[in-house]
Amino acid sequence: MTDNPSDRRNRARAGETPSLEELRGIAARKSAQHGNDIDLNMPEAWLNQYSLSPMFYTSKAYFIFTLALSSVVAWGVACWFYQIYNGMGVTGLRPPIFWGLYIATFVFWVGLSHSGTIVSSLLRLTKANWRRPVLRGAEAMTAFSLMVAGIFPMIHVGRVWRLYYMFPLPNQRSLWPNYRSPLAWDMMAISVYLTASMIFLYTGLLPDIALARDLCPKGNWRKGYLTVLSLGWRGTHRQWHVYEKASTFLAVFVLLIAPSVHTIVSWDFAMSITPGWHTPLFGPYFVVGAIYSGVAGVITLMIILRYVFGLDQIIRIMHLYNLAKLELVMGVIWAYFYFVEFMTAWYAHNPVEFRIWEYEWERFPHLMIIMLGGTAVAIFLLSFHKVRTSPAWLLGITILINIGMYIERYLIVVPVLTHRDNAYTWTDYTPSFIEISVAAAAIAYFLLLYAVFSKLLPVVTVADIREGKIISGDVRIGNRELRVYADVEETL
Amino acid sequence: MSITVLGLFDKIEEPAAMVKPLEDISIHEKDMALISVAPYPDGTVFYDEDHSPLWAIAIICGIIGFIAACGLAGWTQWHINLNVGGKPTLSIPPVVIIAYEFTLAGAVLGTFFGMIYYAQLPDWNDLAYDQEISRSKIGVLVRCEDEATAVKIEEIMRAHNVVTIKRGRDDF
Repeated sequence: MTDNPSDRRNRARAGETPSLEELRGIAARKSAQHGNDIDLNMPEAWLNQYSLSPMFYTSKAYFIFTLALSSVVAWGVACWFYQIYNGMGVTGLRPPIFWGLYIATFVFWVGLSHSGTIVSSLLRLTKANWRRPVLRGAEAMTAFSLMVAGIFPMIHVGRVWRLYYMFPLPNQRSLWPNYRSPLAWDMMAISVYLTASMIFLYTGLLPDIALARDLCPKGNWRKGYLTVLSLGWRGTHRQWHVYEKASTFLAVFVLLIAPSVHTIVSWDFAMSITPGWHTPLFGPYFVVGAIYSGVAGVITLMIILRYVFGLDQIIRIMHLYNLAKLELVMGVIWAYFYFVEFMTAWYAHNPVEFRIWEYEWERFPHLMIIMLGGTAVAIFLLSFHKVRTSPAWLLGITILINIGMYIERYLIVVPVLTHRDNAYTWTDYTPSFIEISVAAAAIAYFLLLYAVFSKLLPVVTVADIREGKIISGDVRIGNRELRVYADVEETL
Repeated sequence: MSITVLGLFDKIEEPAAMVKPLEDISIHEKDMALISVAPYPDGTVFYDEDHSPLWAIAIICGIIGFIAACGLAGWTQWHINLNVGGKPTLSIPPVVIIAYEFTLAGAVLGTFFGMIYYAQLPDWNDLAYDQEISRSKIGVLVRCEDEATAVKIEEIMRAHNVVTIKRGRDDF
């Protein structure tokens, strides 16, 4: 007797009850498809070795990969220096187009940073037990994305040595930053977010750094900095107690900071009285787009970590499956926001905004198709269970989503400036080779930061995984063995 | 000077069963500490009596951040008196935005440094510890005042399948 879904439905309609063997078979298959949670019988020594192996074992391919990334970064830095020496004329920026690829890239990386801490904080606060292997990767992604994003305003301003005009320091004319400008808010918000994200990442790392310190072979060059960074952590009951309190508080604070940052980034645009930008929808639209892009980034990174470092026993299909469901929801919400924005401009027939839409389709039809088609394809494919449980499919879809989101940032910035109110100022903008090189180097820089991080500090949250093992167990309910987690009350 | 005995165990049940015999020889819970590579829920062995006011530190630092932001974004606008784009000399929305960010920045920094302080970090002194704890052994620190009690503690630990016993110094 077959037991495919349609047969089962027909037999259920006919009032037939599936046999015990059939139910066991279905449960086993589902379990295999999702990938069970982490094996509770995994030996402790093996868990340590397995989790810390990315730090201590380096292949030749790693060196080749980091060398290639370093070369791209070096090329990007050289291009930036060329731009500093020769001036902004080497970019494609011409009046009235003062914002181009650099600003689009800045918005993209700020957006990508969002999901890391939001996902991590939300999962911590809601005590979602599947969160544990995902946390470190997500938090590190936030910190590194922001480190990349933070460089772009410096590159964009041209005269980077005058960056201190943005700091609360009196400049040559004893002037301070103008806090009525959204750019000053942006500077403050991103600095605060970067500080909070680094602290959040470091706090989570603290017990794992101590673990790496203890397990680091004698004479290994890592021992020194691991000892310093671990701050003498021993894992006393008091330390864990304070640590858990602090983690919860930090999760709440970071969760409050993250949406405000991308809202402020959106206000860089929306606070100007420029058609196409001046809309109250921009704040939430940016935040949703950031989470959509960020969750895709987390999934991509998890799959890469899983394969590059062979962490398939820790980052299970179940974790990717759950993140993919979250991504599907965010995709639908983002599409809804995009539709609302389009609908109001189209039905009201605002001539300026409508012209921008027309221009986007005339000038960038290929980009529009990749962006909208990519999201439509992603939402369609993520609706299938088989796709959500396939790392190969997920890798392809999440990369496609982020290409689409990069394009979306570009299409927010450029068409509005090239086609502003006065038709006689309409012009075109094409990023120069220098701009493209710097933007490409940013991707390499992000990957390089991650690659270096993986060799210096634990990329897996070992303490969190262990905590999960402590408070969970496999229990037999009827004929099934199920994983249950104790609901441990927090003492704050 | 107090003596600290560190016992290493394989399973959490063993130190949990050891609390009562230790209390019987007048060792109070505040003189015991658990060391583990991952957190055990409070009360698994004993309850933590510490109620560090981390929330208060977060709030105080948040307030400091708020005041700093009002000074930075409010007072400087007032002081420089530069009218741009028809906005009033002192525009409130920018102050609110900067204040929001700085309040949270203060709260984050307060929480972090509060955690460092109450977790008694950093401390690179050679305190009672064993690297086997990172290999999932469970450490129990017991503090006492004299050698006779320390010997009794070691006997109780042996009766509860201790793997290793060490003497050391501690300041918990």
